[in-house]
Amino acid sequence: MLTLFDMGKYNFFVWSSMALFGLMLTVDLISIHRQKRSIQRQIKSRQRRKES
Amino acid sequence: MRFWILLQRDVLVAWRKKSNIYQPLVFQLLIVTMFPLGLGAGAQTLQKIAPAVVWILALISTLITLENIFKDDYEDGSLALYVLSGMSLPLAVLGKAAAHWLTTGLPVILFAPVIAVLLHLPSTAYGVLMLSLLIATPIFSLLGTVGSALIMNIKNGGMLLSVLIMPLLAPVLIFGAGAVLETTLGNNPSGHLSLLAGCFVLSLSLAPLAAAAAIKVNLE
Amino acid sequence: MGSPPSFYRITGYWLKPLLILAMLLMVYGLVDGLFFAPPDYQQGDSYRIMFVHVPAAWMSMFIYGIIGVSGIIAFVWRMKVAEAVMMASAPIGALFTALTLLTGMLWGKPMWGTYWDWDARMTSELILLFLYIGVMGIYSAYDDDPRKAARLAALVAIIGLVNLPIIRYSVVWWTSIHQGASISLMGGNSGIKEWSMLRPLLVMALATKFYYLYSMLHRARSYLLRTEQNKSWVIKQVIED
Repeated sequence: MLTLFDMGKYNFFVWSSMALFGLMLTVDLISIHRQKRSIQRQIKSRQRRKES
Repeated sequence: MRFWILLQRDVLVAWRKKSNIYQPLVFQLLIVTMFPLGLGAGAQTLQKIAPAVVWILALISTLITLENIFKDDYEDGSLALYVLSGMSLPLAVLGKAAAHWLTTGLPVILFAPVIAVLLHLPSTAYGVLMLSLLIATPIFSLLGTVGSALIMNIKNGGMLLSVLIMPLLAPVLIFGAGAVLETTLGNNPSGHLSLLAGCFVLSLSLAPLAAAAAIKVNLE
Repeated sequence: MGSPPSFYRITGYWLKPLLILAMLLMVYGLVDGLFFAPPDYQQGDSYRIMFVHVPAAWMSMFIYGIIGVSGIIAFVWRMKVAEAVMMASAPIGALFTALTLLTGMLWGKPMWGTYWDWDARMTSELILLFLYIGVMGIYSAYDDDPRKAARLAALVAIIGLVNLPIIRYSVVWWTSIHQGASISLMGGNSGIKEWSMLRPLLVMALATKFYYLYSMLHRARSYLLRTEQNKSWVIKQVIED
């Protein structure tokens, strides 16, 4: 199993590239959802203020 | 006709406030002093970087003046007047660019030999240096009107302006500094110079349109 | 599709399938590329960086193309959906560009012996990053007036699109004059004719396309909610959710 993950002398370069890719996806996904939630909250609170 | 009036007015305004004219030159002098201080004063080292440094200094010292091309006219409302008066907006932009070139581009060209002497630029390259700057400084002014029109009602838009027009200036720098470098190496710079002239024609025809579009959006 | 409410409603059904498809393809492509594709005879295992680097590079250019085209539509016809697509594409495009640069550096170190080389590809990719930053920067500078911000950003995007070929050409020409041909990152790639190496690459290219669609549509929807927040369809939408 471990030999599968072994990239020889290129371990660092290959795996940090993959880690960067994962990091980029995570950052993107988090920012997408945070953006959506904040805008929804904003609209809802304005709506409540208008109703009351 | 209005083009000349606009040009005259702008040059006059700049002339009255002389700091506009000599500030870029003082700035160049300040920066060029830092190179020997940081790099060592060896003539050979300086000679090697001279083509690039003279060129980059000309570029940066123009860059710091671009922010204000439209700012004053926007703030005192005269820009809205140009639009209302039915004057062709690209033509007005061309007038602004010409005035900017006369008040910053031209002094920069005339000052370039001083910077070149300080950096031990080989004497064979002076002609090409002046010629390349003569073609390129109008490009700075023209592209500058685009950047300036985009940021004219932003406070502290200088940084944004640099980000916006740096990609546009990259080819100009490549061909311009390249022409001087080739000359110092004893090669023929005509290829670089004609490409530079191509950049000039392109920006002369497209930049006024782009700047006019940006002004229209900004005044809406 | 042209009007914000129907765009919002229709794309709502697409999000989940797109994300699932992108993730499945990504897992398949990476497992295939990292574990099953044979090592390259010249570059050994280091060439596996290609499976994220090359799709990211393709996306960085593809997305700028989308931004330019939707910028033209937004500027000429003032379509709100085009504005949303343009501004929603910019962050993900910038991320792919940054990823391309970073993975390129990590590939360059073992292959060229240096993290950075001013070769034509890397230089123009870096300038592409500036173009992305410019589009986002002008938008955020006019944040209080989204319509004006979008129109100016569209103008910046169009100017960038016109300049991209010039930049590309001048940079290629510049490197061909100033230095000898460096080992191209794609050197190994041009030799790839083996299906087992090509397959993960194509799968990853597809996966990043789907992921881009997911991310872009998601952002475009939020963008429309924000810019249209006084309209009745938005209020109805948000309360339903």
